[in-house]
Amino acid sequence: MDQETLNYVMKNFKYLVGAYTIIWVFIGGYAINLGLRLKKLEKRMEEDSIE
Amino acid sequence: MKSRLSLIIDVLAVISIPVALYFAFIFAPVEAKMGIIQKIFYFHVASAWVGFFALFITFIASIVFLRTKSRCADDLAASSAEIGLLFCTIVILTGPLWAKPTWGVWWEWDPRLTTTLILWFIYAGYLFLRKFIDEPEKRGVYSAVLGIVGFFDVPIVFFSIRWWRTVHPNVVQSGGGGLHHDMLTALFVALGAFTLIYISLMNKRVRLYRLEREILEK
Repeated sequence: MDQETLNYVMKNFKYLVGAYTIIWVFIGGYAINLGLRLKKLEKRMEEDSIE
Repeated sequence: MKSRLSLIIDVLAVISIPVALYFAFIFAPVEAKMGIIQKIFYFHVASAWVGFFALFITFIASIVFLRTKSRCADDLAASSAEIGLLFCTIVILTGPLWAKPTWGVWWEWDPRLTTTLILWFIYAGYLFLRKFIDEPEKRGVYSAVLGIVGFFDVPIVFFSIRWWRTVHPNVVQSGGGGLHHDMLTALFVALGAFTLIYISLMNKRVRLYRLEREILEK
């Protein structure tokens, strides 16, 4: 791979990393948020039923 | 039984992620002109598919709600719209990251891009509407109407590249739009993975709506 090709690949690499970061941070963040909220509510329901 | 099925869906969704990444990065060849940046394509298109599918579910659930006033249908419509907005946001953000190195600009007021942005605003408007109406019955009816009317943007987004002159590539056509068959395979694997993720997220979101309602009604 010559220098020019390498520069082209590296220049585009940041866009690829950016896109994949957005995809997985958004999906992962949303899934974690849902999981935590669900766990919290399930715990609350459990406590309410014991009382 | 129900929780076991939901666990199976969650596990399948998690496993599908590395599989889809393998197909996108190792199985599919590097595109000759665009090079490595074309790898955005697989998940960009998969996100768009889930965004469309989610609004379709909102559309169907909204019709069911208006006919039956079923709270379950309302939960389904709202959950699908929220997840649809997530995937639509991914499409809107990854598109410019692919456009910049290939077209030389971040954004073009092209029919496909503009109608997708409108779709994003419809999703966002739907969720805002739900947030600002307290009465459940009224909230359900108003948002169902928006969910039905808003769905009509989906075929416009899909056919925009056939109806108008556009710079956006068209890969969904007979023969795969000139795509190499390995790239087409990788695309279908990504579509499958994102559909599984959608089902898994939907299952959780609907359950959350139900629990929130049960707590409010106590």
